[in-house]
Amino acid sequence: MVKAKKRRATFALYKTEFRLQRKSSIWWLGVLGVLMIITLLMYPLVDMMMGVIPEDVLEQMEQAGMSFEFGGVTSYLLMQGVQTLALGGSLFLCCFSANTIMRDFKGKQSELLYTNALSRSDIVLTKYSSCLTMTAVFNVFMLIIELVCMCIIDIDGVQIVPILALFLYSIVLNLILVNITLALYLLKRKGGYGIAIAVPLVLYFLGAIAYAVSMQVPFLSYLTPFTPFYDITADAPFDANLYPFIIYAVIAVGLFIWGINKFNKRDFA
Amino acid sequence: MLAIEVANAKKTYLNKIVGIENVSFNIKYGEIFGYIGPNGAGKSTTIRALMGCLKLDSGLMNIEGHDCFTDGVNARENVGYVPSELSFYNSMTVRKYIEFIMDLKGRGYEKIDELCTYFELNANRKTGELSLGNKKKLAIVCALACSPKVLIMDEATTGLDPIMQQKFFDILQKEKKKGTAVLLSSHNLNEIQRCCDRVGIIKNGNLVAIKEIGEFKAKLMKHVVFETKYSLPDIYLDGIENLKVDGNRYEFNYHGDMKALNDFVAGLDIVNLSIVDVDLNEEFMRWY
Repeated sequence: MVKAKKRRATFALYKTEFRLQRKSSIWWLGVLGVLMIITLLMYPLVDMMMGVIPEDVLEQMEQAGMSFEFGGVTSYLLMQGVQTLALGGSLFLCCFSANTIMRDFKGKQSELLYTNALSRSDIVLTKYSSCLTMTAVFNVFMLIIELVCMCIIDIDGVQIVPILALFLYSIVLNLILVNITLALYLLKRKGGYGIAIAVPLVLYFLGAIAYAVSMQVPFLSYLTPFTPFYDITADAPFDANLYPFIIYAVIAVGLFIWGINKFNKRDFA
Repeated sequence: MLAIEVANAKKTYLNKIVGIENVSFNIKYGEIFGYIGPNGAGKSTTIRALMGCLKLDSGLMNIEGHDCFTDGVNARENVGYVPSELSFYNSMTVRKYIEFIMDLKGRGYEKIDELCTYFELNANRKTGELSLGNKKKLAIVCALACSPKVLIMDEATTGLDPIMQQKFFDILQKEKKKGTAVLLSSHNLNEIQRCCDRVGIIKNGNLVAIKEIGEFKAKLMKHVVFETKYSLPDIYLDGIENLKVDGNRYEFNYHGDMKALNDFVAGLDIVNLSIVDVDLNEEFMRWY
């Protein structure tokens, strides 16, 4: 009886999270989906342009760290679609996660939400599960868009394994960032989207810097969970350096546990 | 078992401001307990601590025998709560919001229509479009729709028009008859006078008095005004306060023996006489 009550309460809260963020989620998914479609549909044009660039110019560009040898639509996705998937997705999911916690304290809804027969942990974990679901929804949505677009452009160039690797890496990255964002908002509770935007943005640019100077400063690649994205190739999709993921996963889980623990003991003044 | 038990509760905020100090009171089932004090006296601190939003520095707060912070889930199991500051999910309709709260409490929807009709609340309106009074009604409906055994209401009548206030007090009396324990916080003393069995007065975080409302009323001062044909040299009567003399017109507050007042007035050549109860507000103001 008690379990049934708790199940009903948590399910109601879970449903409400999606209902309250329905409009913003549709906007985010729509914008990121369109960005991915545009990126992929530009492949034939970009490929054609690459064909007319003189060899010596391409060589110079490669020496400067800019590689434009796509070798097929899958490689093109791994190089150009990553920004939309990794950065755009992380921004969306971090904002979604931040809003689940922040909203109740910003408008004092917490007085009615946290005063029912549900523990603070139950409420936070239910909100967390809605973030996990949204992470899955986002990645599946983008995977479908990628596959459909790639099949339209060049069905022969579609390689399933690298695309699935990208899908899995994206999920892991999103989960890490969702955990970190939720933990920071559990500690902070109020405020705007600053942290939710800053966390993925800072780590993303750190990743870009780490990639550019990876030969000179190799340890930098361990400072951001975005680095494995730069290592995925169509030929060796699972050969990326996964240590940044492991390091950040440990940090994210630790932070989240600490965040819940602090949140449970705090005053809601 | 007591519905609400508070013993030596103390709460200090991070900035060292004392919220409450040494607050103790009990509320039985079927009792309406009024909790009054001016703004910032510690009413909301007490109530937020009871609802598990604040952790006490020391002391005890139990609802139905469960500690409000460490065993908050069980403590809040049968509690209906009306907070002083209201905020809802603006995009939800009134009905959806009440259903959501009932889902969180694990209760049925059967009382929603009846209560919305009683409080004249349009269940199809968005909560974001509601006025303050209607928001208050929504919070009251949410608290009552779960058939609570304990009702905790923080300034529940703020924003309600007099008709709705009357309806609210009527329904509180019904809840009382059903055996519900009610903690009603307010700084409006008249409403406490209208419906409470006992009253606790809080001042600067300290509970300065707990009295039966009847006891308060019995000790109420009388406001006496009379006019005589001839002026009096002086008035010798114990229990007179704030004597004002204007020609042959005498006005004062009286808290002495009524028989003595009666005998005193009987010996005068009275033209006009008025003896009325001092408003409860004035009585309570003596504490501040």
